[in-house]
Amino acid sequence: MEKVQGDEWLYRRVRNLPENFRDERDGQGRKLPSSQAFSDRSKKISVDRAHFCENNPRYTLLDQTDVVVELLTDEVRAIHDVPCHNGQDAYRAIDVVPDPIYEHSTLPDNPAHALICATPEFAAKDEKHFKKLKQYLARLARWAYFPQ
Amino acid sequence: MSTFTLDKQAIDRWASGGRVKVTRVPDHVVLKITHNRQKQFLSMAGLRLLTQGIAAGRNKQATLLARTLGSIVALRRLGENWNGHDAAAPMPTALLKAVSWTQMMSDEVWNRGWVWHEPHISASEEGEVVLEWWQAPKSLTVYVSPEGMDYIQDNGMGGPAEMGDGSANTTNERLAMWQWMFGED
Repeated sequence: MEKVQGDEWLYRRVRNLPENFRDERDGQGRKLPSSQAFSDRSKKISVDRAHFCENNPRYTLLDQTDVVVELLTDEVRAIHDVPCHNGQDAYRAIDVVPDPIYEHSTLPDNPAHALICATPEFAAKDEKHFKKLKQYLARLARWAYFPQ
Repeated sequence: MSTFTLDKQAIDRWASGGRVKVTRVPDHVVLKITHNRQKQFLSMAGLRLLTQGIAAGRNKQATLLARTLGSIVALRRLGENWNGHDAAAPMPTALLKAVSWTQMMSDEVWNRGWVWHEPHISASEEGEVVLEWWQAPKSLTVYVSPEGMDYIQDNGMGGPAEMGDGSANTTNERLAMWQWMFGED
């Protein structure tokens, strides 16, 4: 499987619900994503590789009202300080790995799919560390697509 | 000399021009007014205005709180996979806890004469209720689960390891958290 390159952009689909966006707006009048825009129950954050989407964030939409924010792979991999639960000086490696979807029971085929994941993985007792990662990703995220 | 013990925030607002001497004690302020110099400010009309000010402040708090509680209750509409990434539906017990916690917290803030800031309301992938406040560059996120309340403090500058965390289950913990976020003293 082709490794995700550092200069690849990653699209994150976000449902256009008030729960996912802050009330403040950016210079273009778009609401800023909340940390909950990066909630993923598996603790592996689902994204699409822009390179496989012809750099068109609309590729990532499941619903026409969805919003898409983007992250740069290098910036995600540069997160070196998410702690492990059992070590004061031990940190997780955050990576972006390809995870193409084919013949899934509910999802359409998606060769662009990738995951932002941690090594070691987040366990139940690491909940607060995953929350901090979400918080940080919300800071890094930029707008890619906002429905009219 | 007449001494009145009144709501600290209302007094601060009313006496912001510095015309009245206000003595602060731990839970309230004492307004000391010398008749010769200050009687013009302590006319019955003035006192009525002050009382109305206190009531207006309470009403404003009640309005903000009602809006927040409405947003928490509205989370009930979210089902399983509400975010399209397999998030759990908000837990009913977490919703109840969030309602009582928010009422308690706003009272604690108000009783100290601090300003209540309306949070953004959301839910986590585990079904917790999430309350978020932003005041650039800082942010404060509280997660309410059936087990209790935890917070994440982000000063907006460092990475995840720089973020603080803790529980917000006692008055002291909540007020310390609030002070960190809004710099009240």
